[in-house]
Amino acid sequence: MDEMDRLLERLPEEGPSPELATTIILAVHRRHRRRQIAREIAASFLGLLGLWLAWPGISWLSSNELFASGTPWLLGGLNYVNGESLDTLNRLWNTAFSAQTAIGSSIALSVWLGALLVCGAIFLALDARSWQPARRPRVHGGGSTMLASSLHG
Amino acid sequence: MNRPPSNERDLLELARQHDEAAFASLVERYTPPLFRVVRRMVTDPMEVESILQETFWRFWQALPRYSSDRPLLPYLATIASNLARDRYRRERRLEDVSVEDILEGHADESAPDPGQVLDDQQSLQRLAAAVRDLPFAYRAVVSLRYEANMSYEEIAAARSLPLNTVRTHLRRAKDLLRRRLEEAEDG
Repeated sequence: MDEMDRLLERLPEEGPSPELATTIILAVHRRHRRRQIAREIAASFLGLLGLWLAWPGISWLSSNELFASGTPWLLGGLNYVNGESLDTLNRLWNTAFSAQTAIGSSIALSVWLGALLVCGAIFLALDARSWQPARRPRVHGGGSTMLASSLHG
Repeated sequence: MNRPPSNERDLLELARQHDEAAFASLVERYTPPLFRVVRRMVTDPMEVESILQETFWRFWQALPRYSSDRPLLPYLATIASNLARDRYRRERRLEDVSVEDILEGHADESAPDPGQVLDDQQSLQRLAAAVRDLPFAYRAVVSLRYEANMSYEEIAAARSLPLNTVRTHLRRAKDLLRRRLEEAEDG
């Protein structure tokens, strides 16, 4: 360490205004709140749009059709477990393909898109919820006093 | 690298768990030292406040990923120095490339010790003004070194520079300051 190092360490210091920290805290809170509101609006919009798009798929899932098409699977599986011939395995395999085709044709692209949007909405909503405070003690310091709750508006 | 004191680790841990009161305490604690770091880099006080605000906002967003074992001031100073650099680049007041050539071949090791002439507050004020006149790249390194007390390795990581470049920047900054003080003394 030379003399210049020592001088640079002794440079006159300029302090911030006393209310700067409070200004920063409030500014961060405002931006956080704005972002949170934007996320909530986006989550609601995506959720509603996704539900609307996915509704045919949801109604199909809740219909008897699903259980009817599941029967060959169940019977084929039971036969296979019972030790039947390779034909059973082939039948099961073919049934699986036909079921997949049936699902693909009955659930349109919009349903998948809707499901994707609902997932996005859930992600946005969960992420926004995760930023709620753990607790709200009173904060003292820097000449200012504020409630943590004041940060939440 | 120094670990933060235990009470600060507690605050950081609480802040990481989204406790805004703990975050507010950290802001109150770190605003003065961070202000001094940024003030040494940026001349406009309004811009300093704006950079501080943006720094703490980014810290707030990064909190879930922040390790409470890391010392906070170097981390904040890194964000702030990057913001200051970006603003200077945007305003076309910074040309990093030309900085390398400023002192090429001008180092004068036989210069008189500046401590002999800098023994009062007025001289230190002159040195502070000379620091403000340094090219941004040098000013940033000086500020991180002497205001944030960051090691060469930490500065290299913060400024995305090779370690040797940090050493060179600091040496050249000090050479330049020495020369400017001599000129002021002669003038």
